[in-house]
Amino acid sequence: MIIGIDLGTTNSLVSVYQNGKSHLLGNSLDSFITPSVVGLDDDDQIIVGQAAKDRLQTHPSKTTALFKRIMGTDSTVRLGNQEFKAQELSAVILRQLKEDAEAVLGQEISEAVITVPAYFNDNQRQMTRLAGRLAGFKVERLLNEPTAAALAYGAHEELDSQLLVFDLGGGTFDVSVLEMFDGVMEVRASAGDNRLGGEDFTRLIAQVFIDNLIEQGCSREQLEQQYMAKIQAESERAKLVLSSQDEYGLQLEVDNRVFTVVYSRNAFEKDSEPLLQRLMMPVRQALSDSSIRVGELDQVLMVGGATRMPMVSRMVARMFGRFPSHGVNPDEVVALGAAYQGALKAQDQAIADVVLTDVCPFTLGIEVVNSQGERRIDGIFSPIIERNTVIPVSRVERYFTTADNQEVVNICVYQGESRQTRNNIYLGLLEVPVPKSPAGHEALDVRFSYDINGLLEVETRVISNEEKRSIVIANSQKLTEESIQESLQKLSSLKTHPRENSRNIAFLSRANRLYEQQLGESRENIGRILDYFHSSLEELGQQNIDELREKLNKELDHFEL
Amino acid sequence: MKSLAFFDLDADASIRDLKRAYAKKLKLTSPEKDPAGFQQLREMYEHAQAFLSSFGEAVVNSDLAGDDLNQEQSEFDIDHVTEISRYLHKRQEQQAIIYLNFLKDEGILYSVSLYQQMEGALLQLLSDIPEDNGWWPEAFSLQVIDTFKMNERSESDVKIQSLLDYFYQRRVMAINNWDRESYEHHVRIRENVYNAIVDIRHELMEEGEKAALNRFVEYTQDEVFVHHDAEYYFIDYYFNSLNSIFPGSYPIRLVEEISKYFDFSRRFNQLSDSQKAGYNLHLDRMNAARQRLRWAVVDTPELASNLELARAMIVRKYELETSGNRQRSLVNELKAIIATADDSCFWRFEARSLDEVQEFINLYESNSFVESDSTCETKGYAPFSGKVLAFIRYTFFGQSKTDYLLLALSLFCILFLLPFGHIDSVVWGSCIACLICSVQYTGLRVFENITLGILPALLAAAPFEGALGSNTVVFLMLFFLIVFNTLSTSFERFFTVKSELTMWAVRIAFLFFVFCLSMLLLTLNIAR
Repeated sequence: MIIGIDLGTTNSLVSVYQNGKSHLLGNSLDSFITPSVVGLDDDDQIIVGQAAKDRLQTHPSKTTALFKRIMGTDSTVRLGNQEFKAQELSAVILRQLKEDAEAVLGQEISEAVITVPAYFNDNQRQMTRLAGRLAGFKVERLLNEPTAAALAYGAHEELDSQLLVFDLGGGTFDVSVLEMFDGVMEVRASAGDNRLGGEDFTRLIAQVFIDNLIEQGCSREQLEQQYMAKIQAESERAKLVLSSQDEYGLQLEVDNRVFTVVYSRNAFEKDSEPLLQRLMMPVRQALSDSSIRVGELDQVLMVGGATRMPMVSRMVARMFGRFPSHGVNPDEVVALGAAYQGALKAQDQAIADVVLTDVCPFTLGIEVVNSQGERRIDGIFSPIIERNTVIPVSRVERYFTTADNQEVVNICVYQGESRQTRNNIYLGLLEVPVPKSPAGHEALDVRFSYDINGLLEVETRVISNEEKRSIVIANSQKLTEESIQESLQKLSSLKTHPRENSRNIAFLSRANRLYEQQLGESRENIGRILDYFHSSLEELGQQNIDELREKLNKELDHFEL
Repeated sequence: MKSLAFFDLDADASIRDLKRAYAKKLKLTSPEKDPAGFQQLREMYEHAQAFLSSFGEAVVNSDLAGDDLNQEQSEFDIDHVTEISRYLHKRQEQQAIIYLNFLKDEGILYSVSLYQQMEGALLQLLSDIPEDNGWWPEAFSLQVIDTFKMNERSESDVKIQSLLDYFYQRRVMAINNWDRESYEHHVRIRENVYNAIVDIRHELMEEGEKAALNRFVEYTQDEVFVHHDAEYYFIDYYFNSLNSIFPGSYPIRLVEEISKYFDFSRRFNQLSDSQKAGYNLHLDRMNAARQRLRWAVVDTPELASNLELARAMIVRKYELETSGNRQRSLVNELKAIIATADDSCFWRFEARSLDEVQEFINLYESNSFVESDSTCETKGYAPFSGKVLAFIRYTFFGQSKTDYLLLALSLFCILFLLPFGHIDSVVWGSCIACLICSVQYTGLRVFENITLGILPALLAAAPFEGALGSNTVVFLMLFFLIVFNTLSTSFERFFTVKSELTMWAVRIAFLFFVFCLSMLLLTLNIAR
């Protein structure tokens, strides 16, 4: 059985295709959504999901979120006294999802389809794949998120249609234009911005919040060093509340003084204008690359939690001159699509007649030197695979040596749209020895093969001696077997709580968070609940604890803001 | 048509038929299981699609469909465009801008389809303005570029890049009132100038400053820069991209030649603001290059040991006011050092050419050096710790070969020759030679050398007087003399001792050190 996983910046979901339909699978807390947060508790045992999210405020130094944003970079995150890479933290999440799925399905799961933002580059995809491997999965496919959403939405529809998926997630923004006909789902074009998402809006509120607090007399250092996690959480709440209400009072307690900053929806929308502007360019690009006109679109599909913000819907409505479709749950649709793809892969009888073709969303090429007479211009990007080419694809270009008696040709692989390689993303290097001869006499074929998972293989052939060389770009990224083993070891050394404890831990994390948020009488009440629960834990049996916890959880609901 | 036959279709098939056939085949060749087969299928599909579209059927169809859906919007849009076109026709550029801004404020451009249509229509309007009437709505075109964010998009869109280029051409033509022919003539001139600059730069990087200078002179003689516009382009490009023409340090001789040729100082008032900024940068970099020239040698170990030696010698010469004879010999030696250093290493070390080092020497030969040394020092060009390192390096590894020879010789004499009895003539001869070398090298007077060496030597050798004879005294004297001189001269050289008084203080300190050494020897002798 192949499961589908939506590994998001803020939340992750897992689903499976059964009985002709995709189903989301709940976690140990009976929720479909597992926040992408990882933390360590006081005994250095690992905590994942909602419990960790609650501890984000109470234990900021031992908890981390949003690590998908550093995927594919060399940055690391410090948790307690250990450094983690983004793929390792993602693997922890994936491992948790795997356990949850196994618990629900009652069988071992080892294959998964994992979704990635369409605009993820090669490094980022490779690291996501590695995270799956570290979590013990055989990653069957990396599926682009908007494509997954379109699959979940449109696979059952028999009609020919053309649709645009507008996917504004926690940390990334993707636009895909798809065409469906005769059981074929064809992605016509994808574009995006992998540094734009709902988190940017939260960050914006946090910035306003901090500026106002400073005006009211707080010191910036103190705020940034001690209260950042609380400011973030409060800003997140403000963002959600401002979707339905006209204003919200952000609160923060500093040194026993409570500061309040009132932020109105109008002000928020005005401040967000530059972010909204950034949404327009990828939409235009995807449309013009797909050569489908706005009028021909049958549907605009909104995906990702951030599209719940009214101003985003309004922006989309203005861009397309119509209201976007909210027929799907924007948080869940990607995971459902991933499960669907898993079923396609496994050749589920019910859906065997749907074929999906995807595109490579960016241009891939190599660095060349342009010689004009005696002049040489360095650092020119020579595209081999143009953006929005249907994949899998394999293209060849021929290049020549530029210097007399040149012995080696360095093939530097880049991704991007600029004519200058320095503005593009460097992917890897292949050194090809060539026989000595005058400049321009040695020719070299460079073949780029971009496979269905978005992984690139580069192959070169020297014409004169037929010598071939190749690299899978991923392998050049310091991705040695040793470092993978090292990561695996690090992950297996992490202690985890037994599964039956997870509810108790989540309850305690939540209560502790609320305790810190509340003041005065409510705080005392929460304190009492906590004490009561702690003392009962030792006395009561499993059955009774469950009942008690449910009861207390309901009581805690009263204290949620 | 091979591709149509592949799908079992005729040339009059519709796009819809093709899609259906493609879908049928696609289900048999899945992109996952048969990538090669899929690629072939895809290639055929795209080929057939292009073929069918070229008959116009698909294009016309989709155009009609689009127009139906957007008819209301399109009419609205066309109204705006005709309005703007009317203003432009009457050359009321300001009105057109106001109207465009009004459209922007109304939020009309948020709509993707209107945006695309408006963009297309406005660009068409601009391109339709006839070239021969010498008028170009500059401000309006900039507004259009800004509204549609064309500068940002040009990075990834060749079409927009070429449009921007075209607008730029029109602007230049309008400003100068040129027709296309004279525009192209000027473009040729500009290209020549640009090529010339690139060549000069290339020469500079590959061959060095002299070659670059020759190339520049060659171009001036070829009259590449004679044309009035050529001069303008050269200066414009020169001042606006100084940092990319001359990355790193500034080649002073070349730059001075260029300044002289184009007479920058006279032109200053004619320059545009950005050129003025460039001119100031030019002056700054020139001064910095001159300044660095003086200190380049300090930072470069191999050269420093030679050139610094030379510098120290000349410093000494002035401090001690020695005779003209010796002065000449010192300068000769300095020239010899320079002759052995190669051109390329000066380029690398930012002291561009041998001629410049000559200038550097001239600087020291004038009396200004003391002052410039101290100013540079306060600016922190040569940090103290660096000096200590240089001192140590110099003392142990930086001595001239003669010094090593002398040291070795005297040690050899003392340790090996003495036990074998009298060899007076050889010993005395070599002693005098050593003394002369030492004097010549340190610049100290003979008298000083003898006093400084002889005193500790006499003290140390006193107990042996009867047993070993006067040869021992002389040997020890020379030994101490050389040790002492080596230490004190390198010390002075690297800690820039300036006044006579401090110099003597240092010498006395060393003397005291040597004295202590001899007293130690003395006690050892007595004990034995």
